[in-house]
Amino acid sequence: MDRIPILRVGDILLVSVQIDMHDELALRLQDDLLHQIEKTSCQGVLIDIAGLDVVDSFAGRLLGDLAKMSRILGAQTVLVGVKPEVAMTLVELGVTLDGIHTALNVDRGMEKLRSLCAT
Amino acid sequence: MRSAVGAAAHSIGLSTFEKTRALTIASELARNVLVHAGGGVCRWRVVQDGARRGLELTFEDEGPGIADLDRAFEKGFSTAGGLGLGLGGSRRLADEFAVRPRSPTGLYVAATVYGRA
Amino acid sequence: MPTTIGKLIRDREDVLLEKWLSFQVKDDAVRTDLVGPRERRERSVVFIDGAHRAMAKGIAEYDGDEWDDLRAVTADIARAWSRLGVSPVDTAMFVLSFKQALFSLMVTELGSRAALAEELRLTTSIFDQLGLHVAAVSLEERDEIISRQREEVLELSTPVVEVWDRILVLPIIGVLDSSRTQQVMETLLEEIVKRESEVAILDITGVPAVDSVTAQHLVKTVSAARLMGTRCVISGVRPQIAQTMVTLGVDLGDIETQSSLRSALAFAIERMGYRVVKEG
Repeated sequence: MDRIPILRVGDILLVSVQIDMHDELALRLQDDLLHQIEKTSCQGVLIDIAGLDVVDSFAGRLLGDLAKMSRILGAQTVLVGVKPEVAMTLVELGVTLDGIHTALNVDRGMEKLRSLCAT
Repeated sequence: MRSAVGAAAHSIGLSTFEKTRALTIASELARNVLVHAGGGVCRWRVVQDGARRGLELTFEDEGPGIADLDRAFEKGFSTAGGLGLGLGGSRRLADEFAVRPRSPTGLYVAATVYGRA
Repeated sequence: MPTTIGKLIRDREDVLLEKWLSFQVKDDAVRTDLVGPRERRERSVVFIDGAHRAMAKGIAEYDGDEWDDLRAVTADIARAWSRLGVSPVDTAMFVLSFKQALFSLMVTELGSRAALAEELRLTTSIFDQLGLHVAAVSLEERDEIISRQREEVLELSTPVVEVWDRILVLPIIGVLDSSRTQQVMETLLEEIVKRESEVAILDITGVPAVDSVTAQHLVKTVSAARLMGTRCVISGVRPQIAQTMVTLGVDLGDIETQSSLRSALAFAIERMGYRVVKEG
């Protein structure tokens, strides 16, 4: 059974999605991540989707839900690596991901997470 | 299926943006077919409109179809509990879009993405 | 079997060339500044050579492949001269004046002979058609140049300027139709990635009017940029545009707008946590 790896960097969890996720894999990621947040009581989650060329409404919504669920467990989420064409298709699909924080890349994402967690 | 569609898009010279639109449409419509009808047929072909070339994707299934097609395009509408963004979203992403009921049952959906002339 | 006309061209090539060159520039309307004398002469020599070879064994009808080489030669000339800015008519004159020169030469050298009649008919028809062929190729080339220029203008009118670290300004000029808006969006998003910008200012001072479609496009652009982590500000919003937007019921949500580029810039600077301090 394959899963998407979750790395721990200090008190931040880092997920790097490299391959196009099929639905099952995405749902498993959601489960795994929420478990990890609880186990490590981490403050922040960084999800990097620079490896995704296509994000459809299912995956988009899943990411949004993930951020909300993490928040409830006490962790902030920042999404990075959204490609221009992916951003445009998500907007057309009506997936706004309101309330989810975003940044251009991992570096900036980390910066943002730290400032979010500090407050 | 995605890689084949991606290869087709690349071969007719669609830009990254156009290719992504096509792939996203394919993903959305394929999911619809699987979720609502348990399966179906997907085809794609290259079409020409004047100076520009495009990729036409068609999805056919024998599922329950959609009773009220107009409402199906509204955001949030769904017959099976999903969030129903698939059809409307796909239409917005496509340059040409058509939905027709099939007889005796099922749906036929065609979406085309064109490249620049 | 070599023809009278064919032999004439071969034997009196020099005279024909000079005569033809003088015919080419005879008309005052011809733009001699576009094609230099050396270029004109070289092209003419190649043409005469091609014509002679095509008629080496007799005069075939125009659609015969004996004329393929000459057609290719003239197509080359037509494209090259079109790029120089020579009009299709002038380029066609290049061929038609050859016919005139040739016939003028024939009258002086051969007088009138009945046997020439058939050769004459064929020759006239051939060079007339060649003239048309040249005009057509020249026009095609020109059309292509025009559409390429149109693309370049399109690109030029969406420049993106990085005014400061991570602050981008996109001045939009002119009317935003849907295909242009698409391109503007794509350009902006690509630049944001390239420059790692945190704030992008879309300046619409140069946009005369905004209809609901354009406004929607702008909103989508801003949403897409936000998904990438960049904040957008729309600046240069004039009172009329503000009125239109409200009347049309366009919901800008929480998109920041400013009336001037200056205030937008100030906003961006503050947002980034910069401060402008005066020395001394």
